[in-house]
Amino acid sequence: MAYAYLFKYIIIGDTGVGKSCLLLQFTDKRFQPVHDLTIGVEFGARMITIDGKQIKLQIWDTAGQESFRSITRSYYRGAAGALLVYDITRRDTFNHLTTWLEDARQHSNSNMVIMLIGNKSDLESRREVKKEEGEAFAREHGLIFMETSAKTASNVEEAFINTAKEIYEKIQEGVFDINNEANGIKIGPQHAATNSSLAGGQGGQQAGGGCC
Amino acid sequence: MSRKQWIAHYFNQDSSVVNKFQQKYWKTKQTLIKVTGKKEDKHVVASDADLDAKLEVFHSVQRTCMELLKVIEQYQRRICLLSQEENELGRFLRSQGSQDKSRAGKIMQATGKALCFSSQQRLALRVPLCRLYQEVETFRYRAISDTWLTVNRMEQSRTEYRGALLWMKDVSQELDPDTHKQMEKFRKVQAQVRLTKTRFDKLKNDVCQKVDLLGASRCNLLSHVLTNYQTTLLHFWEKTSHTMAAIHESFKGCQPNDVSALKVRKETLVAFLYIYYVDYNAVYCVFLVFFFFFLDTAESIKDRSVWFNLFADLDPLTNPDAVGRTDREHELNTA
Ligand SMILES: Nc1nc2c(ncn2[C@@H]2O[C@H](COP(=O)(O)OP(=O)(O)OP(=O)(O)O)[C@@H](O)[C@H]2O)c(=O)[nH]1
Ligand SMILES: [Mg+2]
Repeated sequence: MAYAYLFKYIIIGDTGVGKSCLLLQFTDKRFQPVHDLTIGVEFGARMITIDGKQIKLQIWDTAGQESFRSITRSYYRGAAGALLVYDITRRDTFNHLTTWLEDARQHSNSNMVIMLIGNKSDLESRREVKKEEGEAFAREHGLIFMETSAKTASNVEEAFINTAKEIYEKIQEGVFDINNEANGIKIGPQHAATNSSLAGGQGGQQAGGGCC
Repeated sequence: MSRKQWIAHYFNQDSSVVNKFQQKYWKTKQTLIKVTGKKEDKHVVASDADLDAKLEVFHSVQRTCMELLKVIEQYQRRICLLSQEENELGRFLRSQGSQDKSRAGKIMQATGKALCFSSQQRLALRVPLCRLYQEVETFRYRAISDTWLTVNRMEQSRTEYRGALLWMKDVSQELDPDTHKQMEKFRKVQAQVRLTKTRFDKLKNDVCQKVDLLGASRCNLLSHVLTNYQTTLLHFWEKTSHTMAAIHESFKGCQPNDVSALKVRKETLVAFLYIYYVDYNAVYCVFLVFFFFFLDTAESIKDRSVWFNLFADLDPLTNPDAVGRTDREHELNTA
């Protein structure tokens, strides 16, 4: 299907926090109650519309188990957005966030938009991490934050779409060089021509504004 | 079959051969990393931390069982030697005592008898020790070697799994989900990782369970057999201390006023000390019993210090040749 842009996303976080479930909920509107361990990486894709433009999200759902850590590092390259997920019912998954963030910052491009996600918000009775703690962590590290539930689908759409909006804004601001695929953004085939002015203007601060 | 189909078919087959070859390649690569002690992926190593801790326990069980067997063997041998020496000492005292018509002679005879008795009783310790040896040996042959086999199989599968991870890391360098060829390749490697991981996880679990069981059953074995040994040991002590106490009782209030008797005893002792000092570890305790027994009878004697000096000379760390020498000589010796 034709698209204006393609954004590469990566989902990271400890094993069992619900990364694959978030993806499945977002792409198929389904929930998988059994933990089917991800081996290396799985892929998903979905079209969304922002500002009247078709955007294809290409999502890399990485394995959270520690033995895959060195492998999943190579998946960061060229990602425009990252969903950093923890499980609000497991404090240790929250404690590991700094390690994940360091990993992400080290192996991705500096403009990558990172969305912090506290998943399993449906399990309020088993909550171990307060919402305020997630917010504080996000504020401190300059991330966007949301609590989601892959089970009830609460905030799942928003998590993926808000990240895309943020990336889109960065393109408008000219922060992203969309001609450099290492930034995780591809221009769709039929839009390439119309967007070339945008690409050309990436050096200037204002240039992006006018073209859309 | 059209030409095109045939080519597709041929290449498919061929690619499975290539696949096998690559599996071997990455496994060999992992084996090399392991054998040459090259630094392994620290995350992969860290994720096996619990397993490696269990293996550490296993190796310690293995090692300490071997050591235990050696110690039991030595201990058995020493018990025999000690018993022999004890017996000889007893016999010597008896024969010396029979020639001494004084009260001291009676004491020597009685003590000699007690020592002979103790030397016989001491051998009873060998029965539970033999049992312990056999049980530990059986444990080593059965339980340990069984666990060892599982550990070996686990290590094999670990190498295969880590090899597959290396392979996956390699194909992950260039991966684009929209490129069919790359994805096809990735799926193959992913299947291999999944397969080897499942195998490894199962064996990992087996190993952990077996090691836990091994530790528990060894504990059980030891507590069982050692209780036996303990009982026998107590029994032995009870019997001998009983005999010694009886002698002690019968000679209570005896005042050896005959200085020459004391002299004889002292010389006897020095001679014995010299002979037995070679195996001082074992005889030390025998001597202590002996010494305390006589100390009591010599209570009223002025030169009780003779005994103390003798006893002080018996420090197991000093040169056996120095036993019975005066301090001055000793100083000269060590200077
Ligand atoms: N109640 C509840 N359970 C969830 C939610 N999201 C995931 N789960 C459950 O959590 C378990 C793990 O989910 P996955 O999505 O497979 O976890 P993952 O993060 O992909 O794990 P790895 O692939 O090993 O990295 C599964 O049993 C899910 O059913 C949620 O929002 N609510
Ligand atoms: Mg997963």
